[in-house]
Amino acid sequence: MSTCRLTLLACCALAATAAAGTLAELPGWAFAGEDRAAFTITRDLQVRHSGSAAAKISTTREPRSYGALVQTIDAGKYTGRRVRLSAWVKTSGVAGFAGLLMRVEGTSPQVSLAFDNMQDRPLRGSTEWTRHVVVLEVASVARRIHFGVMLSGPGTVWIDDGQLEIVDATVPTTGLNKAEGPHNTDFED
Amino acid sequence: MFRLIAAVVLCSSFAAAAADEIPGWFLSGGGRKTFEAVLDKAVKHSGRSSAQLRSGPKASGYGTLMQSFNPSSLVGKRIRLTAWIRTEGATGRVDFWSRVQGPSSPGDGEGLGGGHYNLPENSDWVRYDMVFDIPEQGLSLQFGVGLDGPGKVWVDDVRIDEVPKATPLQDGHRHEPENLDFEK
Repeated sequence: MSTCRLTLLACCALAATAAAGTLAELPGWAFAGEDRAAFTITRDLQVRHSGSAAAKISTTREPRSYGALVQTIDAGKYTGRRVRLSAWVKTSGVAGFAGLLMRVEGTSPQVSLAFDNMQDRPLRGSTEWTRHVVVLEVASVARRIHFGVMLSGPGTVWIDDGQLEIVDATVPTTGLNKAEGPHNTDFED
Repeated sequence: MFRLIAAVVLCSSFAAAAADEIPGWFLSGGGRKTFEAVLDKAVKHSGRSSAQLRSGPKASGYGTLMQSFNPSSLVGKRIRLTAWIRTEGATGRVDFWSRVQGPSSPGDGEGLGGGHYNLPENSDWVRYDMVFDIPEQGLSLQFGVGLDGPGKVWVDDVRIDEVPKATPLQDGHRHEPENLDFEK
């Protein structure tokens, strides 16, 4: 049952990382999700991890779908490498879950080569500034990388001081596609 | 993302509605019937009018206001496609796209080159440039602005110019992360 839910949510997230208008207040960033009107996205000058600002995503009502703050880049120099997204995240009153998000896209937007939205280690309720990481393999055939932070259900999440970097193979990958080979093919597990 | 758009556009196999008021342009995309395109004589970048693509009351899917022509006079050349674009309340996807289709380019592919810009939800007139080559196999050059979701997008003063081969290619894609500390 829990596996089923994971898969469903992951697929929703996959489909909608494509839907995004970029945000004038946050250069480089775009919204992804299917209920833009339920989310307020601002540059927060008070609550921040360092520097003069962080990004804040909050809900104005119960959202019909998750909302995410994302960037999309060509996989280019990351292909064939292991990539780590890290960022400092803080939450307040998160009723569903929040998490960093990264998706490695293949030859079409429907093809997801690797994905993690921290659903197996969700941020819930209120949490202080903490550095979180998502580590994925970027296959040689990858075309795009989407990354950012997502909020599912009502609440507020802040993100600051992100980094996207190539790491070596000793850094363990995270997320749903981390199995090294087929698993439970006889359904006896 | 570009490929998704291409798929939507071409899945309709150019089952397209002419944008009646706007000679040379037509509506395409799976959701084209739920979008409208009109000439706008009030909001324009220059001259007497611009084109406005907007979602209708029951907008659903992707709709794009586009052109397609035979680029035979441009074969072998590097071109710059320029458009001035304005957006308002486009909280779903809004984009400016282009591609060259060859004889065997799949309908859901990105063709033999072109580009794609993901546009802001709201912006005043901004100039967008794409620079790409027109290969010998190029049978059609297609470009347009599109919406998936609510809002409006205006396009004006589209130009195609030959540029020197030394002009850097520009596909509109981003290659590096940006503003991860939110200081911009």
